[in-house]
Amino acid sequence: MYPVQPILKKNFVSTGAATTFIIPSDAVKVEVYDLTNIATVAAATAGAEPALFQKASSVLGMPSGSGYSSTNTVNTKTMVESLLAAQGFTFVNTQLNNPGPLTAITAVTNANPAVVSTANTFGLTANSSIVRMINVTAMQQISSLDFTIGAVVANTSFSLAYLNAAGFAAPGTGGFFRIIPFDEPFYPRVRTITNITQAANAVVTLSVTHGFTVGQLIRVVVPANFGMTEINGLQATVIAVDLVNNTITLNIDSRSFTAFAFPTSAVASLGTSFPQIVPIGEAATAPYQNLLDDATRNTGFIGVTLDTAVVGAATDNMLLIAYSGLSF
Amino acid sequence: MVLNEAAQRLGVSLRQTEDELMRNVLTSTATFINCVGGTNSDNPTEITRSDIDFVVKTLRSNNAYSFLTGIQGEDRFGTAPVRDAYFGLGNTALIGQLDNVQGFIQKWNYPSPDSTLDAEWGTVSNVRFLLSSIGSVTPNASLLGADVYNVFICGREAFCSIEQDGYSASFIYRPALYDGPLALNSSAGYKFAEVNRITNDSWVFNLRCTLAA
Repeated sequence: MYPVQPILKKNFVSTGAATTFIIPSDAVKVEVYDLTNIATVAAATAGAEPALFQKASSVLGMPSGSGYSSTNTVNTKTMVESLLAAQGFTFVNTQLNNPGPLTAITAVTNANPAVVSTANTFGLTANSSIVRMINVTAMQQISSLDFTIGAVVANTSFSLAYLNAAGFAAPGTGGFFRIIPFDEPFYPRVRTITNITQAANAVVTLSVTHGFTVGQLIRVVVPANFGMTEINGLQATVIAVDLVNNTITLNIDSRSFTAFAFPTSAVASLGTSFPQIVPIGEAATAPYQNLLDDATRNTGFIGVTLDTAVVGAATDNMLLIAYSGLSF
Repeated sequence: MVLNEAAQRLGVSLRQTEDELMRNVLTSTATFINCVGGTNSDNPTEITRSDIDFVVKTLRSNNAYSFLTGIQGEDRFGTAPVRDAYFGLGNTALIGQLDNVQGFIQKWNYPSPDSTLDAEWGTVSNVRFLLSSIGSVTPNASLLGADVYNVFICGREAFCSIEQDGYSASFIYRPALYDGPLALNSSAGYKFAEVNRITNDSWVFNLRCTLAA
């Protein structure tokens, strides 16, 4: 039997929002202390202590979002521990990228951006979550694609932030989606294109938050079904990045190219590849040489997410301790 | 004896981990092509001869080097010559699927299967397929929500693994003396540092397929 021993100690200032921390792979228990609240209660006059969150803990194997939370009873320094059902600790392993449950949708608008109607938005985080669209009736050209979502209206709808479906012949009338917990582990990543402008410097919109930086060298792949075949296979340098609209600007003059357009739902149903941006290196010309922004990085990690019940209030000084051991 | 057996298992774990990391790099970074020649009403479809030929044509057009020279035919019943080939790296779930591809030659129908790799299943067109239980799969990623199998068809020098810190791997053994005051437990393990990278994006493609109905 190995004794329980601390292997990570991290001080941080809470933002009040759920926060994920990387922890060593053999961590089996985590504790978090709200140092600000502890000091407040300790210094308070006896009989006048405010009831404040003090500490919380969880062990590997407890349900996601659960944990033990301790708060002092009002006007005392006596701690009371309770079991959290939600908004507690969630252990994270990005290698276990299993899609979420199949969730039904009732419609997808042919608008800019496309808006997905669904009665269940549980687990979706606005402007962050990635969803995979599945078997979208009458809009099969987006089925099997991943999208970063935009705004969420609880249990009503969410938008596909970077999909302009205004040119689609018809709205989607049913289908499903799954939440994709994590992005592909290795950066830089292939990304699916949702639009390419006809401009002196083509602006490419990507379906998932792209992560590309200025100076990276990419290749554009556009199958015949998507119109702008003249750009297929061309190499280009990323000369500008727009994080709001999730676009990259390339040093390709596409003004004379055929307009980019999704195929119809019927064509997509028969089978098609999708347009993509493929990272191929770094533009080795001034002023981009030796930036190494395209260096391969494994972004996978093992960690723990502290949700709002245990992460402390904004500006609180916090202490996170991870422990290993407990093996027999 | 026990340490020898542990070392053997650790060696398998090391190489399998290296393969998994390379697999993940290819999954994240390689250009993908959906199979469209099948009839299972999904996107991508099941793998077909026309899809494989399309990838081979693209690799040839990009002047990708083949890995293997061909195997000349011999006067053995039931065998057939094998073309010079690229490698196709896929999941063992494709075993039945590949057998149904037009013109597929299984390994035991090669004129001389002695020089083949253990993981090799067979060949069609200019691709020789190596299948593994840890072959890349993207769950629920097709039009109908089925699993999508990623088959990496690659030419020579399309990707590489670069060793860091001047070594490929270290096998580390710590005798029980280091465990605690009663010297109860020994430990053995390995560590390695490497970076995997596609070196020519036009010489490797991710041919994505689903399974036939």
